[in-house]
Amino acid sequence: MDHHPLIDRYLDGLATPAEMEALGRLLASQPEMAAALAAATRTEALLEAHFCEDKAEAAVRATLAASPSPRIVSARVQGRAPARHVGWAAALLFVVAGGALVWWLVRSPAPPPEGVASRSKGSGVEGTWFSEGSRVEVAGDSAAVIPLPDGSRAELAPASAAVLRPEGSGRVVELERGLGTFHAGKGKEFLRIDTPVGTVHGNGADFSVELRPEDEEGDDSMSGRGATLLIVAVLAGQVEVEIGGQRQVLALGQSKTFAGEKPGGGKPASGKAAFGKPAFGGTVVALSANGKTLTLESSPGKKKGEPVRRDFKISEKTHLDYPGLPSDMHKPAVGYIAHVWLEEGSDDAVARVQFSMKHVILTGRVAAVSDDGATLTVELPAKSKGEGPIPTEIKLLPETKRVYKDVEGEKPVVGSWAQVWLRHGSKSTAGAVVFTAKKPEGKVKGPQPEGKVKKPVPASEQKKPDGNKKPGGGKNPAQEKKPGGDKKPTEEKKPGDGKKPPTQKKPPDENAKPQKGNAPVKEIDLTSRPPQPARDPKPLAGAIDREIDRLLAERKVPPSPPADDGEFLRRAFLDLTGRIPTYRQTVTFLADTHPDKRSRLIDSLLESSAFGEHFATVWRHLLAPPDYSAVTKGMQRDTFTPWLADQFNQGHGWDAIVRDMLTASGALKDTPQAAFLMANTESFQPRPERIAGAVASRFWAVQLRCAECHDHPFAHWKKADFWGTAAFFDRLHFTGFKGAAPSLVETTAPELLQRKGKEAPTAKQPRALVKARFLGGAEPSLPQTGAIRPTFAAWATSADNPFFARAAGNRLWAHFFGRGLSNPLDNLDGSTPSHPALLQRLAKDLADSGFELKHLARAIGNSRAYQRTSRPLPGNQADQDAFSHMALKPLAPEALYDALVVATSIDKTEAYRRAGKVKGKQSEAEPAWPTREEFARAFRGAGQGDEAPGIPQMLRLLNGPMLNAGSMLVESMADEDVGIAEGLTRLYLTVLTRKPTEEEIKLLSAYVERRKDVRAGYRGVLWVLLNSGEMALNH
Amino acid sequence: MDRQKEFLPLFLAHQVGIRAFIGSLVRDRHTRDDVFQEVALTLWHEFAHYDPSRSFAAWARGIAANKVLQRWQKDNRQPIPFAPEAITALLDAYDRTEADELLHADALQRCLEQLPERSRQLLSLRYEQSLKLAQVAERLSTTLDAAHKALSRLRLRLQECIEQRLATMSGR
Repeated sequence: MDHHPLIDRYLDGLATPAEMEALGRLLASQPEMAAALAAATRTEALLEAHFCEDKAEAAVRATLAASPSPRIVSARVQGRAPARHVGWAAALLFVVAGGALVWWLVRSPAPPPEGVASRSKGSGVEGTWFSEGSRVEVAGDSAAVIPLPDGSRAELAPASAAVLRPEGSGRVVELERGLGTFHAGKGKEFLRIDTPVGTVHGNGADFSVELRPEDEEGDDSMSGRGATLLIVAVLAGQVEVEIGGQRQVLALGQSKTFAGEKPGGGKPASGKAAFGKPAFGGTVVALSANGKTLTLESSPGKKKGEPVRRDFKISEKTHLDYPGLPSDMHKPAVGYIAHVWLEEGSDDAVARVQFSMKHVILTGRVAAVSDDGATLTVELPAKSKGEGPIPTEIKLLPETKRVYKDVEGEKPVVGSWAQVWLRHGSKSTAGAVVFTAKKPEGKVKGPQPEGKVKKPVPASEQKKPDGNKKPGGGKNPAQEKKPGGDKKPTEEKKPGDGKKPPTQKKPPDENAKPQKGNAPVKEIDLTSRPPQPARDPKPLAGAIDREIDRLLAERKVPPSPPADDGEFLRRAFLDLTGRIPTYRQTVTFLADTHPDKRSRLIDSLLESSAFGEHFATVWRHLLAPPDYSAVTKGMQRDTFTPWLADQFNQGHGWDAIVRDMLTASGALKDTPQAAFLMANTESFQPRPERIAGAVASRFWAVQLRCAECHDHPFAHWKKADFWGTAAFFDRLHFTGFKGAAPSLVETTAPELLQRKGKEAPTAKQPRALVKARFLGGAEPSLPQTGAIRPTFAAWATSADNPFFARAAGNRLWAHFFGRGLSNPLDNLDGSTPSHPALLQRLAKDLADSGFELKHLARAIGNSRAYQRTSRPLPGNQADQDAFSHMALKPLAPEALYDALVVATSIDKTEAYRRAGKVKGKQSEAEPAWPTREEFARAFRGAGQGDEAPGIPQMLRLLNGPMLNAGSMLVESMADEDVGIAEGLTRLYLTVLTRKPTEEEIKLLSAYVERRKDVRAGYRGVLWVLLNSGEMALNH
Repeated sequence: MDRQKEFLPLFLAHQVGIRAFIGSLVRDRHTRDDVFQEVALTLWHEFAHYDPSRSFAAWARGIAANKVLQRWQKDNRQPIPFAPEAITALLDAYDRTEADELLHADALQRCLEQLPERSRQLLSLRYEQSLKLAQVAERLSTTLDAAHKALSRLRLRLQECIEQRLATMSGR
């Protein structure tokens, strides 16, 4: 037996296209070749299964060792209750890959067949939803992706647990712990996520739901649930969160943290009926002697109506379910909470009932402790005003778990506070008690907003930048060197000193390796005063404000007040450089008392190289969206973005930049600007009609594409216009397939031209019939020999071109304000601008300045309109297009990435080391941080499949090691021991560029204090802040 | 309903073989996992149409082949790696060499135990962590070519070892 070398090359991914072809032929013609490949791939599959199994096994063992919960059984698959519920598929399936083990406990009609009860070979990153009604635990270290019926999808993070439940055509996931990200397809039914804290409903939305123990060292050992925070983040669409009967809508980009009032208690809120899946829910108040009739009483819901009682019939066909209850309690009993699903057509025959228990926690001051320490008297708060506290005796069993926080002597002390978790079913016996010296504050009732989208700094906060100097710069020597990481202030102030090579920015490393290109974010130099701009932005800024204010006055819409310094600082940084300011920059800026500080900031940012890089990223996606697939059309590396960055940073006019792109010729590797033309190729050949369409929409904001096949129905463009433009690119060819360097060439040989002039060489008829002419009709005289594109490019970008300056001005405006003066941005002649005179003025100024984008950016930045807060006033909330308040703009993925890097001020190697240390993993662990490209790619959803995987993937990144790797910031604060209030302030300033409000300090310091290790507390806060909608938006 | 009960043992017993077949056509690990998902789902849905007198594995491979073909046709960014004839030939090859996976797995386990640590490491990088060969080479500070040679040798050696073990086991 021998392997053909081709097979081995194929197996190792080394086969060239030619070799692939040869291999295919051999496979088809020689049976022994096919057999050899079959044998080899079988060995491979066995190897993969073998390795995955090892990993999965370790994960299972770890989970078993770690979890005292009776629900986690040693059999991997366990038949549950003798259900006869027919509708459910009685199968389980493990599907294989990666490093997670999905654990399905399946309710099957019979115990699973022999051999099924063994774990799957391999482990499942992807589990297939075969059996609804399965309980899933994710062990191992990868997420489990579970396709739900109807195209929705759940992705459960490691260590999560959930029950997938069928409910008619609906979809319900009961998240018990951990983190799930969900893609709810649009459908008739909502996707519902039940959690102990509350319920989340989504339809046509992407969102994440996380349960995290409020106190990690808490008492989850007894119940599997400690006090719980529910964190919901919405990445697309909107969801409704329902907690204790209250509903709240979270929209795109928002995230909120809710604290469970009584862990476990809030379970399925009464208002759930609206989504109606369980027919009824309530407390079991009576049970007939034969156990066949169940009387339920609904909790008096939010409408404060009378509680409703109903009787339900249980038969042997009824499926009884007891999630979360120990097995000795698997019997209906009075006091349980029950949700029932009825048989079809019946109003009392129960098909399924789910029993759960309220988790009761009593909190009160310890008034007395018996001598043996086994009985506490706890003063529970009065039920109504005027009454005194109610002393209640609580029994502690030997096995009762006791946790002492800041309580001296590790024993119950009179005067301390006790949080008592009652045992299931008991009114006075504690399963666990947490003793604290101070009154525990974390249990905020009801929804507790954490991440706000609208700028939450109250007006009073604005006055404080000087007064409240605690976090002020320079006082504390240690904090000086901290958040920014390395400082390289000098490098950036040499605009336009000759030609920097276009690859000054690190191109992405092709071969992934651990420490590869995590964007090095240099701190932007704000300290040195940039040179006076050549052109005074004030007149244009004034013109902007006159026009904006005029329309506001006309419509009687009040403008919002100016943004405070923090809001402005963050906005200017994000708009001009795509990143957020560092802590130090923030502190310095807030403390700066110079009246011109905002103008100076804009000047500094415009002079930083980050400006060009940011604008390059933005334009790159517009002009030549990176092709993330393997083939990059002869352009291996992204040289286009660095080229653009260089153009912007050197202050080249937009007209010159565009001309360069339109006339690009030569070897692709030396001609990064050819990317625009090459983005409009088919089968490697530039397509004149596609180029024409792209030029018109990108640079002129004119929609010519429709005129390709018919005269435009609304606009005045005719087919002749379209093909006349396309004709300028007719002579463009891509050469260099055989050995020569791939190049873009414009044919100039006269004989070829002639031939082309007479008859079309291809079937694309219209081309030959239409002579090259400018949009609008003028036919330029073209050189008989030589390139014709320069003639076109000159006209296309000239100040006299009726479209060019307007399109650029409008687009730039939209960059800063979130919407254009005319929309959509690529169809200016299709709609009426909101401020026609202003658009005209922007275009004129742009043209007059030699299409200097920085000039326009500077003027806009200095306008009052730009500097308004994003918080709407009651009178201008509805305003969409008058610019009464700043729009909220989601961060581009690249910007979000850079912002995350700045916010965590993380040093890559350090993070890497620490991630390894913290998790106790071997160095085989993949790098904690994705690269900027990977991040952007995941975010933009460059998947192969039909569903866009971008959002869940990004959530995974967000919730993954990236944000958990720890941060220099946290470490240094903990080392310095700055005190919690100061620590929180620094975290807020670093991440959100603002100080925390008083409530936030109060809430979060309670949270941090309860941690044994402040680091854990800070990290938790950092996590919440980084994941907040406020972080993900530019406001 | 009863038929559905039959599905699972069959599927579990043959899933490695199904993966192997997909692996002969699709090299990218993620894509392969996706295809496998799809195949598993289709098998489940179509199980009613499965003729129990035929080999389950063969039936599953047929479905897998169709899934792979569909995928190739959909993805027009990449050239189609193999012509249908090659796929047919592979299907035939698998049909001829149908194997008991459990025995194979067992044999593999023993064969692996005999390998030196460095060989196991190489296999782990490639098949456990699914690294590309270039990454494997880098991790081991060796050249692409050397890694390729070593891996090719290892695969062959393992395959021979497995055959041998199975032969002695059945001979006994």
